[in-house]
Amino acid sequence: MSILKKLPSKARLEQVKKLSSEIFGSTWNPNNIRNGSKILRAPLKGPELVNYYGVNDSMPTFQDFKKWFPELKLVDPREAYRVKMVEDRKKRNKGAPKKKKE
Amino acid sequence: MPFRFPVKFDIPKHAYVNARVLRDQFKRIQYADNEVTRNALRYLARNTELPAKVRLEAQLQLTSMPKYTSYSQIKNRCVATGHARSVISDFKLNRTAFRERARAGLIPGVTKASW
Amino acid sequence: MLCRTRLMIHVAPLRSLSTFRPLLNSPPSQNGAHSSPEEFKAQAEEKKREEDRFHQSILQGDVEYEPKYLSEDKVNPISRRPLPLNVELLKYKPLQVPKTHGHQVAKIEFKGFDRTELLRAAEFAARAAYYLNIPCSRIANLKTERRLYTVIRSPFAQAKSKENFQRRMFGLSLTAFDATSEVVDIWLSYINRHAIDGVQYNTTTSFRESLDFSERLDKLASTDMKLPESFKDIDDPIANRIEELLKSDTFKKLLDETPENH
Repeated sequence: MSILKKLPSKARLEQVKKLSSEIFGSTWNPNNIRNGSKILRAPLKGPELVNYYGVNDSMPTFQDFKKWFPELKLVDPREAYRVKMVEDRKKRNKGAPKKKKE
Repeated sequence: MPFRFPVKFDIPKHAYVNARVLRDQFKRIQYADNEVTRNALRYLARNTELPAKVRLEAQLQLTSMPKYTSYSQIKNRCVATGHARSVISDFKLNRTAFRERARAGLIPGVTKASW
Repeated sequence: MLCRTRLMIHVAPLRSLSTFRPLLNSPPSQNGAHSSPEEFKAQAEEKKREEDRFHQSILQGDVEYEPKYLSEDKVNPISRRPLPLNVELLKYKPLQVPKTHGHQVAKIEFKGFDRTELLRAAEFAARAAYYLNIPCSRIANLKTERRLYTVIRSPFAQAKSKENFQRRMFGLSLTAFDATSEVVDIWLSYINRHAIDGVQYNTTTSFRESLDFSERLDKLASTDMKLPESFKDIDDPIANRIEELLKSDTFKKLLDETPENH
């Protein structure tokens, strides 16, 4: 192996870097020009956002169990409590006001 | 009864649902549907190597898209109470809902810290 | 204690977060909804029938049973035989097979909130590696990450009194050396099958290729395109779709094209 007496010129080194980025498929932007590639590079985040409040199919709910076993006459205690509270409020004349008809 | 949003979607079953949560879910779904178009327009608007007219046109089209397709309109709400403030993203819970459940031992791995 | 109990109000109890792994990870059935009881029963019956067939096939063959024991003297009074070797070895740390070349082939990281479950998972993997003759490292500790959550105690104002909660993520790692890719696949699929809830498994596998890799790739025919044997009974819909696609005509045509025709 011969030892270089002096390094190649900057232009030559840049040519090498450009060629190597072509070969290995990486980007080449020596002057840091804003070419919007970061928008194209970023992964899509739509699906992750849509599943924020949970995937409906992942778990069955009480309504599903009611549909599958109608003969058991299942009663959801949370829903029953809520309905009881609403009825009690109505009895005390504290129910929700009537919806305004335009 | 007509659906209160322009596009029909399934109401979340495993989270606390109120009007604001529904609005947020609608925005999320609309963002996901229009994400590719929006990203393309954003790229055209941000790319300095394109002619100025193209960039301007892209910007105009981007602003003319309905606001419910924008990413910045989406807000992470509490999944237990629907509250929008002080939501800890690791658990998707409001600070009070998180504290109630953490003290009850219902959040796996979370304990009272003392050191 | 919570204010609700102090005020003696009946409120529905708080729902805990579900961590039951099979429910969270199982894909929804084809019709889009969670499988109904009839479907679930049919699936369970099918599984049982397969297991019975498997048992029958084992019983029919002539199986020589010459078990090895570690402590032959300690005989169990009820079964009237000593503990089998593999059960006895559970009392000790996992054994190791010595390395032949020292080329790292796989690294598994076990992460979770529960140290005991993590150790169970890691020791299971290490023992499985021993029985498959894969040289494995000793179980190493990873740095535990601690996340602190500081929260205002009161639901309204009073920001001066806060409460600290923490969540610690413990980690263990196992490195496997010198095994062929097929053996490593079998090992990993075995671990995946008997994965423990509450433990997160992250694996990186690395293999060395020869320099004429691209020529060998071009010479591949459509008959070489198939999933490994250990993935035969996988129920991942993506894997099934991959298999279907590989067998389809378009792919066969593309794969059988000679390099000159590209």
